[in-house]
Amino acid sequence: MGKSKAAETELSGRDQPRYEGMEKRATTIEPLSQASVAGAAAEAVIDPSALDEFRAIMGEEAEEAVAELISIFLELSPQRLAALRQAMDGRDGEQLWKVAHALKSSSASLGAMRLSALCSELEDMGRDGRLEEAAEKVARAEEEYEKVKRALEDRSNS
Amino acid sequence: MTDDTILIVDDSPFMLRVLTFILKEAGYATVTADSGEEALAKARSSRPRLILLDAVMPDMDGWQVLEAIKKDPSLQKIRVVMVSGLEAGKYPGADGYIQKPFTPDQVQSIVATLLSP
Repeated sequence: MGKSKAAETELSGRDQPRYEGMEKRATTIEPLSQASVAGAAAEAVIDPSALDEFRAIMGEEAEEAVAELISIFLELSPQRLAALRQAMDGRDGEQLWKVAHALKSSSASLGAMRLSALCSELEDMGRDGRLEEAAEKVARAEEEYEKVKRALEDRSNS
Repeated sequence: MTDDTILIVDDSPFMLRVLTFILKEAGYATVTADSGEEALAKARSSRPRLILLDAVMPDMDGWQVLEAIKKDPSLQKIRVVMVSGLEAGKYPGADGYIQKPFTPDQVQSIVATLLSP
């Protein structure tokens, strides 16, 4: 358990600067071609190495387990996102950080590192009571979740 | 959703992983054990507030673990939820019961109920 927690932290720590770097490049340097921007974005939605580690732990039951986790994630996450929005609308910092904390963990387990990073920021905002900043992040988390959902569904169907 | 720690005990790595995911998804901290002996050791070292305990395991099974926990004054306050494919009503002393196959909502709901103040 300690090891996988450390791995999650390390991954989200690595992921965030990479994402910020991408944003900066898109606005300050010559625009990249649409195709390469789309390619880079699709790549970043799910970090496949998170699931590789999981498969190694699971051995023979790996594919069944991965499919099961994806199905649980897709079933439960819409409730979490609705609860995030409700917490923000109701200015409930405690609910915001608790729900964001939960979604941070489940998304990181499946390699959805950008979603996890957004939830980590929301968790901090909820703990610090910075709810006025949360609206934009909740909207971004909702958008990111749609991308994650498509990526995971494509993976399950392939 | 709280910071409470939950100990998950199951001899199947698959069930351990799925239950860990379901509980982390609800915001709980988790520790795992894959045998009855390890469950008792982790119950002492991690001080969980609740244990999800697989009934059928080789060597020391869930019934024996439950009995040991409820007899130990330092552990008996821990809530124990039996998880089994067998029918309900066979776990005197347990605080709750989850029948396999379960849905994630069922697991989260019984845990939240037992851990509510």
